[in-house]
Amino acid sequence: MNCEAVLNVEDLYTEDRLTPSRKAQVDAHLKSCPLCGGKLAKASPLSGLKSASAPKDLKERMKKLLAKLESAEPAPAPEALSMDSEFWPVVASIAIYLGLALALAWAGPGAPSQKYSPATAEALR
Amino acid sequence: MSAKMTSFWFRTSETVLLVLAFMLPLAFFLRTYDGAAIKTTLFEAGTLVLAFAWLFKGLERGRWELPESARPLALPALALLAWTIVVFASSPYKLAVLPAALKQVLLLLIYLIALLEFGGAGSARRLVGWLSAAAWLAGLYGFFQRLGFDPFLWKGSFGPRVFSTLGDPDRFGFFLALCAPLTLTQWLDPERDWFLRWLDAGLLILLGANAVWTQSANAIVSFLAMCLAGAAILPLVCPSKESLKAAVLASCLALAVGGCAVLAGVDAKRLLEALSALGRSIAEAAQSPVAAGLRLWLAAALAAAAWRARRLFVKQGALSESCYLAGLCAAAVGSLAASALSPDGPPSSASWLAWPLAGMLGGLTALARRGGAVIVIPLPMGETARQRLYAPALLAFAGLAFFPLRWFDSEIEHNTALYHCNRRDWDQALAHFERVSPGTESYVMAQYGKASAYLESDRPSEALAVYAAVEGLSPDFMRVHYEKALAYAKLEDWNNASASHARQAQLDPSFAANYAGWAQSAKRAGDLITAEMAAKAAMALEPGDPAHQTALAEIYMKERRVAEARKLEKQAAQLRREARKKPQG
Ligand SMILES: [Zn+2]
Repeated sequence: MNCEAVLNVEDLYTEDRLTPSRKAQVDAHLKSCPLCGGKLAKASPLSGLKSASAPKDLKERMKKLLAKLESAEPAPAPEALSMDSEFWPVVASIAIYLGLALALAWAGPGAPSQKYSPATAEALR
Repeated sequence: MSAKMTSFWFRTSETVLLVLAFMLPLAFFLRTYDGAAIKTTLFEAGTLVLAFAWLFKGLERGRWELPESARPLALPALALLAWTIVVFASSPYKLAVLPAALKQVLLLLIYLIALLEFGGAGSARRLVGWLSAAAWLAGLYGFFQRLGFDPFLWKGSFGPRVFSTLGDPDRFGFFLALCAPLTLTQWLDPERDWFLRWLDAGLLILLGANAVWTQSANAIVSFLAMCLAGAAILPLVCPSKESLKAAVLASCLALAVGGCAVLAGVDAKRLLEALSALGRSIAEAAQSPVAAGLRLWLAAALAAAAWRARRLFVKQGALSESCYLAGLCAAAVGSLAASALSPDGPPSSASWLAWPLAGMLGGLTALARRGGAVIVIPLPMGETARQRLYAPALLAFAGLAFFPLRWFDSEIEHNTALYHCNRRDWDQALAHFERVSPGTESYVMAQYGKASAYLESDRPSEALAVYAAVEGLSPDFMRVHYEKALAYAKLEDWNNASASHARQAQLDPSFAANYAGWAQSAKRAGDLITAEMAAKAAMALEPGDPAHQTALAEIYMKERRVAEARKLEKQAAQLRREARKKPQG
């Protein structure tokens, strides 16, 4: 693996999600390449946190914060229909298709389908 | 790496998949011979966009990845892909088998992309949602067709049988069947609104009613298979009180559809005949054991993964995931059963949906073991170098996108050519047949039509040249030997004409006109024994046609069997008199 390939998988490496063989390849590269080793140590925000511990009152502070947020914010209105961000691109694509299809069917090239013309439809039956 | 662009490519591919799920069942275009030809174009173009969106996402991130838990599900699909390509490359009739091979490759691509990208309950929910929207529209159109309101050209093409936007009752039936377990899943979804659940129940009734109205034994058997698969699998994979209710609902629906179908006059015998197709399907699978084995491997891998994921989801209390896992399993098992039960497999333009659904099923099972190891293929280049690859990749995309459009244009040209054929305007017909390009589904058919146009416009030697080309694409295509014999007869090459008739008779022993032509050619070639045999065969197939008797009488005269000839001529005269009387009476 070259430097670029190693940097392209750095997040998977720091999360320890590479397969053993791939991890060994990255390790081998890091041993021979101080440049990547330095970059990886700097880029990974978690690398220096191995010995860090959470503050003792963290739980209490989070509970208070949550209670404050809950009282401040009105309950979100329940979404009746899932009109989420995926909805509009799909609707737009379908509208474009329908527009094109209607335009083609109205002013497009070609003759009406011969399979369904009255004579052939009779034969199909 | 830019996370924004990565998510843009992901959203693009999901949008394309949703558009396909919605549009493929609904799209039709009545200026091609088959009104459903546009579905192929949409499918090809859509899969192309999906594949490139996946490619671009990889370029953006500098790597392509596959969760290790999904590897057992990707391997059989990759093997099947390789096998399809090997079979295509070694086929002597590449142009004729190209459309089918291409379709198989694209289906496997869709499966792999769904497996890698859309493995979540959210994606499954959206896909099923858009599919059921399409099912609503198609079902309502079917309802209006049943009432006799159809504003389009194809009105009444199948008599009283409904076919909706799918253009064919069998195809429509398979689509309805596939939607049944998916609608049940939606009904079971714990995050579904009560109002929408009532709508789902309504959709189930609409689906069942349409299945009965198709009056297609295949459609009804598929529908029953899907409902029973749903009834068996939903409570098994997603154990809850609600899923038991869904199973009861599915069983009631199956009973109602089966009962109504028999009451509506779909012969119960025909339903049983469809069941007997199972044996035929197994025999067919045995003819290409490698492909069948690879498919079986894929199905087994999916089943094993689904079973493992089921346990994990139940343990984690992941209700939505377990519900969609159950629904996708039911759809997959139902599709397998339906395709084994229908005599010529599931109609291809409806079965495409089974592949992305199977891919999503695989993706869901991989999701059960989140955070596992990832097999990764990193690109050995930095961000600027990768960005330089964008332009060539886009160019390749544009180049490939040209083909589906060109093929669609060919379908329009083919239809126009047939239009001119029906008006006996052969020059125009020839010009349009000429514009049908190779690779499209109707290419071989267009060559055959071109040769017939030459033959009809008294240019037999040109017709023969084109028939030779047709044989090069697909030997024994339709009635190519018979048509060739007619062309030879126009050139008065009686020996070749006789030989071509003989070949056609071998392939199609119940084709009377071929024997009649053969008798004439053999007589002119001086082979009276063959001529007599052919004339007798024609007479046996169409005993009421006096022309065959006259032809045999002429052969007897040549053989100097005068008495027999006179007797036949009398019989022929008698038949003619009867025929003249009939229309008056
Ligand atoms: Zn390096």
